[in-house]
Amino acid sequence: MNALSASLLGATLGFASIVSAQPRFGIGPAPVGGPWTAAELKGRAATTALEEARASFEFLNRYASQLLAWRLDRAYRDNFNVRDSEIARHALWGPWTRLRRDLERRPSKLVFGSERREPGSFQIDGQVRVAKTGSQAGSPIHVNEDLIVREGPDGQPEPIGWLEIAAILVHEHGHHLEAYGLKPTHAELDAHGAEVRNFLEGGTRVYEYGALPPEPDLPRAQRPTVIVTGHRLMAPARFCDTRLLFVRDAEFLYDLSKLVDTPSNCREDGGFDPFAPRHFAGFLTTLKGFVAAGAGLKAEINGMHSYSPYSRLGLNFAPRAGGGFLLKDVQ
Amino acid sequence: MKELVLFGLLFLGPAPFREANAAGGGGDIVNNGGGLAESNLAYALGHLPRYLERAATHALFADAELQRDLGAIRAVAEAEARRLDRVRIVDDRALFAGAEFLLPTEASGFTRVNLHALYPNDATGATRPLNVPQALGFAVRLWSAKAGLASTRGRDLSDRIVRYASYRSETSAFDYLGNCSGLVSLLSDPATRESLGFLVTNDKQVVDLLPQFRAALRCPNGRPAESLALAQLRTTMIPSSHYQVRSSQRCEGSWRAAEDVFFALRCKTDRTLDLEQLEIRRSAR
Repeated sequence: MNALSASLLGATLGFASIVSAQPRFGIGPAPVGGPWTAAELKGRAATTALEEARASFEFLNRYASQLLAWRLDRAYRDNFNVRDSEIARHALWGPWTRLRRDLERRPSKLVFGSERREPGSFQIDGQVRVAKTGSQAGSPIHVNEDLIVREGPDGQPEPIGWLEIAAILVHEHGHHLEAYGLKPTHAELDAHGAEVRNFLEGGTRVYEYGALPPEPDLPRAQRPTVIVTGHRLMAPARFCDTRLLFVRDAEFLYDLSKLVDTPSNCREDGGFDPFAPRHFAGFLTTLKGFVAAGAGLKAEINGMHSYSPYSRLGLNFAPRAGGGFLLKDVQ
Repeated sequence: MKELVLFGLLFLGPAPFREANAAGGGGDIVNNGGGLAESNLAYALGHLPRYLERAATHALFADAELQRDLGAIRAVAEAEARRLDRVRIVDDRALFAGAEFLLPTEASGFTRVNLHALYPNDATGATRPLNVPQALGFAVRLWSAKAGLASTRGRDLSDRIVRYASYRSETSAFDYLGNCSGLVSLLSDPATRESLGFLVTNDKQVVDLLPQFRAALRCPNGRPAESLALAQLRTTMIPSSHYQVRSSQRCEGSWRAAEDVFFALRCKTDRTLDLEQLEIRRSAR
């Protein structure tokens, strides 16, 4: 048994279940990051599309600094022409980095509102916007609930995609650059958001149980879903690999990113340190798919990084009374 | 890692339709995504019979009257799919006076489609080209009129076809470093989850890559899969020329567990998306 799973399992045994309705997690002296409080890993309600959309916003907002860093990813820069590299280099040392550093200390607060309930509250230049914010780092970001849920192909409401949410957050945080002397236009920020979205999509795997035969044809809201973003690439300003792990069951959305985070050799202030040791391999996250485990399901995420040759994270799902599955424990 | 690499050559969309439109004054209406709706309509007109055949077994069309209408449209669609050179897209607002299309008044005449009907405005006032499910719906309205059905019946069937085709459809934009762009769309049967079309478009053409996937994703016994289901389409890296899709095949009567399949699209030197070559790579089991 490898170090990661051993310590997570040990911690699971030594830690009482968090909340009865919540799954058990291996929380404790894990070799990676941590320790984390139960509240940090607790799921957010996601029974309705609006709840899921809100939870997705809250989770992704935790990583706003990294979202902005991905905009400047090394591989991304390498793939672009000299002019873009110059822009990236400038941004790396300039306002973007300072904004990221401030965001790590003080994340922006999200405030959910509704244009329908309060007409005019999200209108800018005569157009209804999905979000708005001020011009200081840490200014609250107001999100228009009317536009974060849409009608899905089955006629049921569904949240907008989490990559779209990432693009919106990048756009809104871009407005905070005004405090550092930059004033990007809406169009420029839309472009930044689209780049981050593309970049995220490139490193992301989404596994839904129930989307393809022979799995049962579950409604979207009931499909257990594992979203893994794993980059072997380096986020330049942190200079280490970053990854996210979100899990959705029939009732909750979980942010388990901390369980797959590697020890940070990066400067905690997010600064660029060319002499810091690099993670070469990173945590290459993969998921072969879901397998039946008794009446429930098991999803296994495999990965490796520079310290241990192989790590494994098992997600166990148990059947839910009203249909679908609930995350039971993490090993 | 053991990998299976296959190359496939594609058949292009219905050529007479394109040529006729080049001669007939059709073309793009906006700079962004120009020609896309025309391409989608060409695909829809050419493939409508196949969609109607599959849709006929779906619960959306269970009603006897709908079945009768569907049969009438299918007969027209099959005949018309063989003579797409008789359809022209025309940019002349005065001629159509708000109508979506004009049917020929004599047997040898052209069916004229209003270019502006292919680019409706969305809720924000922006112009949006018809996507493939919407183009299939447009084709149903067109041929239901030709089949002599009341316009309300045609609209009802059209709405049902759009719902049928878009229920499990996925779309991903392709943009290779700003050099060439296109769209990848996956359409699947809402009931069985089998794939109906895997469409790649540049601004000029739509091609269906599903036959290439069928050829590449054979059963372990080497035979073509009885059914193929693809889902969860996404790009795998920047630049977004590489895609991943989950695939499941039915072999010898039962579905096999889903696997990851990768494919790559290329830009040609003239900065258009290459629709003729496709690389499909299957991850080793």
